Amino acid sequence: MSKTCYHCGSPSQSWVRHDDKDFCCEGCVMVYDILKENDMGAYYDIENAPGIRNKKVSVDYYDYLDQEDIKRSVLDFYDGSIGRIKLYIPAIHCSSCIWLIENLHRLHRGVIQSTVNFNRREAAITFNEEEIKLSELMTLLASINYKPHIKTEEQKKSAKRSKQLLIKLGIAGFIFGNVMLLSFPDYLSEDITLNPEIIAWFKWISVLLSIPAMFYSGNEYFIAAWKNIKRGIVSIDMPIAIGITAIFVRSLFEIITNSGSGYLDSLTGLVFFLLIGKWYQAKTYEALSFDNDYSSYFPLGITRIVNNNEEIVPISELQSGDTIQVRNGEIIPADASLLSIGASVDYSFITGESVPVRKEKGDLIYAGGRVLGNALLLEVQKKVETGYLAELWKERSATNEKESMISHTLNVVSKYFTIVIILISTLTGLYWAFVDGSKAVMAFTSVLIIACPCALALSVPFAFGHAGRILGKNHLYLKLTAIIEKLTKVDAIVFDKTGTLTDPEHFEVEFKGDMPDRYMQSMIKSLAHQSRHPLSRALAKHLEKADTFEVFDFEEQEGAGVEAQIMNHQVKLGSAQYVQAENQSGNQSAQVYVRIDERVIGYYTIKNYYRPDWQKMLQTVQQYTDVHILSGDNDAEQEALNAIVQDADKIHFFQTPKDKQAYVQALKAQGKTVMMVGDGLNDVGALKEAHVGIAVADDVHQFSPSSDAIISAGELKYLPRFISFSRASLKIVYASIIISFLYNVVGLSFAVSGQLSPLFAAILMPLSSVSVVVYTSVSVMMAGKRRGL
Amino acid sequence: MEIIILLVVASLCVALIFLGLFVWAVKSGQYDDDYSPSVRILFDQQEEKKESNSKIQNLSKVGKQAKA
Repeated sequence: MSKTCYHCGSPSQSWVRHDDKDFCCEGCVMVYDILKENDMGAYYDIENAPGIRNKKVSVDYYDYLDQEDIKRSVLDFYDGSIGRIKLYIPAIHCSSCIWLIENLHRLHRGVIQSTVNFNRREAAITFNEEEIKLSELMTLLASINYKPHIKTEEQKKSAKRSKQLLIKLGIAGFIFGNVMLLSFPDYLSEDITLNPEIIAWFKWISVLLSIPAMFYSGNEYFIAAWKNIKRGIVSIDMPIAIGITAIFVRSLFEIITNSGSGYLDSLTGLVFFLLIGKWYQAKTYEALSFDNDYSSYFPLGITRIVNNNEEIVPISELQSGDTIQVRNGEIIPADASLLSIGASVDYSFITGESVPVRKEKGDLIYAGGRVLGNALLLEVQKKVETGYLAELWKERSATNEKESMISHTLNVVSKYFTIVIILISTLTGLYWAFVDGSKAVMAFTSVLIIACPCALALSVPFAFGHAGRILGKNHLYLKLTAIIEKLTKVDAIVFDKTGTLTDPEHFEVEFKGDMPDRYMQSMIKSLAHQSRHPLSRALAKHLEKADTFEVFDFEEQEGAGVEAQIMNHQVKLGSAQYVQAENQSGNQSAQVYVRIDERVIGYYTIKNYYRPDWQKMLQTVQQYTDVHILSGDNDAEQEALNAIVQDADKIHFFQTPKDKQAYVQALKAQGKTVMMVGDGLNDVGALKEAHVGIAVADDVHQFSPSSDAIISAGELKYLPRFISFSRASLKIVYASIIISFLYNVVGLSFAVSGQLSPLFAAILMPLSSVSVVVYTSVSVMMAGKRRGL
Repeated sequence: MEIIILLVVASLCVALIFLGLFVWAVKSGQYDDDYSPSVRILFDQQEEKKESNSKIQNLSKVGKQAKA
C-alpha cells in the first residue's frame, strides 16, 4: 500500500516524519499537534485521515468582525457577552469533522457549544465573548483548516426555501391521502350504494382540501408559468398550470351541478408527485453551493488610517478621500488611487484573467480586485454604493448563466406539447359544439385534464436528479442537473495540462551538479518563491524545508529566468543561456540552472507528475470525441503527449489563459460542443466559454467561480464512464417521455371522443406518474451500477 | 349511516393534528440535517470513554485471573 498522509490522506513526494507518523506537509503536522495537545486524538479514530490540507497560502483577516456594528449584523444572538453565530464551513466532509467542530470547546474554553449541520456544511457556535472574540473564533477554525465563511443572505434564504418546500410537500401529501379516501365511493361499483347526501358531503370536503393544495403547495407552478408568459417563453410550467386549473374548474363545475364527482384526487396527487420530484432534485445539490459562494468573499469592514492610527470601519462608512489599508488577499472595496509604490492586483473574479495586473503609484484601482503581495495604502476616490461590489460580481455570474434550470429537451418538448394540446382541445371543443353542444365544454376540459403532462414533468427531475446524485457520490458535482444533458452532446474535449492531467502539487525534482548545502538551498528557495512561474513554484515546494531569506533587486525575465540579491550574493535561476552555463544533454525546458555569484553549481530537472491512469482515460475518451490538450507550460512534455494524441495540431503549448479561451471559442465556431476540463482558478475564461466547463479540484470544497461542474482530481480517470452514464440517462429520459406520450395518446383518444369517466382518469393519471417515476429511478440506478458508479 | 360524516370529520381532525406536528417539526429544524444526528449519537464523551475502557480492561483481567 502506498503511503498517505496521516492527517489528510493525500499522497506526497516528500514526507515529514513526526510523532511516528507520516505527514505530507508542515501544515498537516501543525493541525495534528494542536489536536494532540488538546487530547483530541479521537479525530483520527472516527475516520481515517479526515483532515483537510491547507494548500493555498492565504492569510485571512477577521479583525473587522470585532467592530461593533459588523458584529451585531452577523451574529444571530448577542447579549453583550454571549454570542451565537452560524458559519458556513465548506470543508466539513465526514463524521470526524462533525466530532471535531462539536468539540471545539475543548480547544478553547470560550466556546460554549457548537452544533454542525452536515447537509448545509454549517456550524452554529455559541461563544462567550469575554473569553474569545469573534475574530479569534474565526482564526481558531481557520487554524485547524476549517476555514469559516460568514453566511450570506443568499444562503440564509435558501435554507428558508428548502424548509418551505418540505412543508408544502407535507401538506400536499396530507391532502392527497385524504382526498383519495374521500373519493373512495366513486371507485366502488354502483352496486354498493351510499347515501347521496353523504357523497355530496365528501365532495365538498375534498373541494375545501384541494384549495390549499393548489394555491399553497402548487403556487410555484402558477408563478413560474406567469413569469414565463410575460417573458414570452413556454416552459413545462405552462401545461402544468393549465392542466391544474382545468381539473379544478371542471371538478368544481361537476360538483356544483351534481353531474359528476370531479377529479380532485388526480389533482392533489399530481401536485404531490410534482413536489416530490422538486424536493428530490433540490436535495441533490443542497450540499454544494457554487455561485452564491462569491459573496462570502466580500469584505464587511476595512482598515482606515486616520492620523496614523488604524481603525476598522464598515465599508459603508468609507468617504472619498479616506486612506485605507488593504492587505494581501483582501478585496479592494472601492475605486481608489494607489498611495503605495507599486502593487499587483488580481481581477480574476471579475474579468476571468488570472494574471495579476501591475499598478503603479497614483494609478486608479477599480473595486473588486484582490491584492497580492504587500499591504497597500489607497485613497478612496468614490464612496462605496450599497451593493456595488455585489453588482460587479453578479454581472459576471449572470453572463455565466448559460441556460435556465430546466433541461433543454424538456423545454423544446413542452413548447410543442403545449401548442398541440391547446390545438387538440380547441378542435375537440369545436367539433362537439357542432355535433352535440352539451358535450363541448366537457370534451374541451377532458383533453386538458388528461393531457396534463404529469409524467412528462416528472421524468426529467427524477432521471437527472438521480443521475446527479450518483455522479455526486462519485465526486463529480454538477451545478445544475441540466448539465447532464449537455455532457451527452460533447464532441470535443479540451484538457488543460498543468493541474488537470498533471498534479500541480507534485513534481519529480532531481539535482545534477554540486549538491547545494542548506544555506544555498535557502537562497534558491527564497528566490524561487518570488516568481509565479510553474518551475519556480515547483522548486520552492521542493525546498520547502529550507529557510527563507530576504530578497533584494528581484528581476524576472519572462521565459528565461529570475535573479536577485540574497544575503549579499547574486543568485540566478533559469535556462542555461540565462545563467551562462554550458547546455547539458536532455530536455532543456525542464531544466533550471543555478548560478550563485560567478559559479554555476548545477541544474535541477523538474518533471511533471501525471495523475494515475491519465493515458488510459485520454485513449478511451478519444474513441468518441476530439481530444485537445492545451498547456501553459513549455513543450517539454511534447513526446509524452504525442504518444496519446497523435494529431500535433491538437496539442498546444505556451498558452495563456486568454489563448485557451480563444481556442475554445474557435472550436465552438466550428460547430463543436466543447467541454473544457481545467483548473478552476487559472482557466476561468476557458471554462466559462465552453459549453461544459469542468473544474478539476484536489479539494472539491474549494470555491470555483465559473465552472458548470467540479470533479475531484482523483476521479478524473473515470471521465469516460461519467460521459457514457450521462448518455444512458438521457436515453432513459427520452424513453420515459415516450412512455408518458403513450399514456397521453390513450387518454386523449377517450377524451376527444367525449367518454372520459372519472374512474378512468383517477386510475390513469396516478398510474402514469408512478410508472414514470419508478421506471426512471430504477433504470438510472441500473445504468449506474452497470458502469460501476 | 350519518355517523360516517362524524367519523370522517373526526379522522380529518386527527390527521390535521399530525399535519400540524409535521409542520412544527420542520419549522423547529428537525428535518434540516438528516446526517449528523446519526453520527453524533455514536460519539463518546471522552471522559466516559476512558473510564469504560479501563473498566473493560479490568473486567478482562478479572476474567483471566478467574480462569487461571
